[in-house]
Amino acid sequence: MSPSRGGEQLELELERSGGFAGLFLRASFQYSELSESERGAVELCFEHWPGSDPGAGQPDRFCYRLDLAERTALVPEAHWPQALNALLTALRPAPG
Amino acid sequence: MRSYHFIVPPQLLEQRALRGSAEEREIALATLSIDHSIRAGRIQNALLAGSAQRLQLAVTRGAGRPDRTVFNARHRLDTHATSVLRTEEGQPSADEAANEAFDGLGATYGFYWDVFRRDSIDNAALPLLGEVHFGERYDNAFWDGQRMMFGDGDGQLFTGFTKAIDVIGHELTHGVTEATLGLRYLGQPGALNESISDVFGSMVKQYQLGQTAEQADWLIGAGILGPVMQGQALRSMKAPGTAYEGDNQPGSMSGYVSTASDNGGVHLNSGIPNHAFYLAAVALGGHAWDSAGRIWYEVMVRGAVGPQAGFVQFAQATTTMAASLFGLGSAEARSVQEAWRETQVL
Repeated sequence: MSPSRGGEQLELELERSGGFAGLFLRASFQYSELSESERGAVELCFEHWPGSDPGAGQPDRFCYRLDLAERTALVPEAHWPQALNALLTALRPAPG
Repeated sequence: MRSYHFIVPPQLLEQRALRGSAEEREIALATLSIDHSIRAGRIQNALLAGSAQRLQLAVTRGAGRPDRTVFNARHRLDTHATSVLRTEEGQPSADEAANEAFDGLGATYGFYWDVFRRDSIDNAALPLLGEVHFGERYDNAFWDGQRMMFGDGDGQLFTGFTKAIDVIGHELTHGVTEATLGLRYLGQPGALNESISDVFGSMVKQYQLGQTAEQADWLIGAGILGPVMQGQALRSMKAPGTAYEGDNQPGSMSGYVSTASDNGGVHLNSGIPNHAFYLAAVALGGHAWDSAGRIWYEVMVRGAVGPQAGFVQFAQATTTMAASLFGLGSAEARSVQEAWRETQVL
């Protein structure tokens, strides 16, 4: 995956929803600034959890959403890659 | 010697021991003594066998008594913990979260037993297992199908999740829903699943506080918010969308949220059936569990809707159940129907 499209920097958007609280938290990252292992984990998420149609989940577990250009992935908490845990520290509350 | 054996719930024996005739008291005390000795022996044997699981199985309980074990997750996420912090027979733990979880599990069990004669999550005395200190600064609590997991919170968004009894009631009710209606955790059935947990979680709190519907605050998660969260709770069943700054829960179908996040907005749209329950309970007055709560519970245990049920089906089922339990044209049937109309579901 190229870090840019037509010279424009790609932005990775991360959202966490669900949990008992049902809070929405979001953060944005410059894709080019992610480490190689983080970019690899992001690509695996798009490969294994593509699309924006949610499936049935487990009560009160977190749901993660990744958006990069036209691609979306919805990743259940149990499958969230450890390689991306550092990104979670940037999450901040945002309106649902 | 005559005895009541162990078919008689221990709490009934205790009542006989306290309030019965001299003969009844003697028999009750003797039976309780034997019961205690046998249990103690089973526990001792299990301890000698060195297996916490066998210990748990050995402690046979009578209906009306919870079988609680609280484990220490030691900040791990990946496996069920084996380190025990508190059991039914043990002393209070030095770990505050363990005691809070233990008490909350007991209060939830007690509510379901006292009000509905439901013996634990499965109505078959399922042991109640909880894990505290789940994950690192973990901002959540959830029921994983076998155990209830409690995070400590990150101290910013949330403090510990064991501090609010309605949180514990909410999570264990997910287990009850799984054992009864099996509502799919997606979209409207998922929002109903969430709402039912809020409804019963709130009633667990109201029951413990001895509050009527009018006296209750109808807040979910009060007391667990950290300094970053501006507000009083996570959800308000009385006034959805007002619990904290940024709360977007709708209270009627005009505000229904279509989203792919949060399993289709289950924690947002639950505000609609939450508010319907609140309206019905307040209209009927008294304790919420006596009328509205009874209606919701009977819909669950009688399987009045299927796993894919939406709001309309659930509204119709509760309205029909109210008429069935209290009579056509009764205040209960009218109030439930009016609550669903006011939330624009019917």
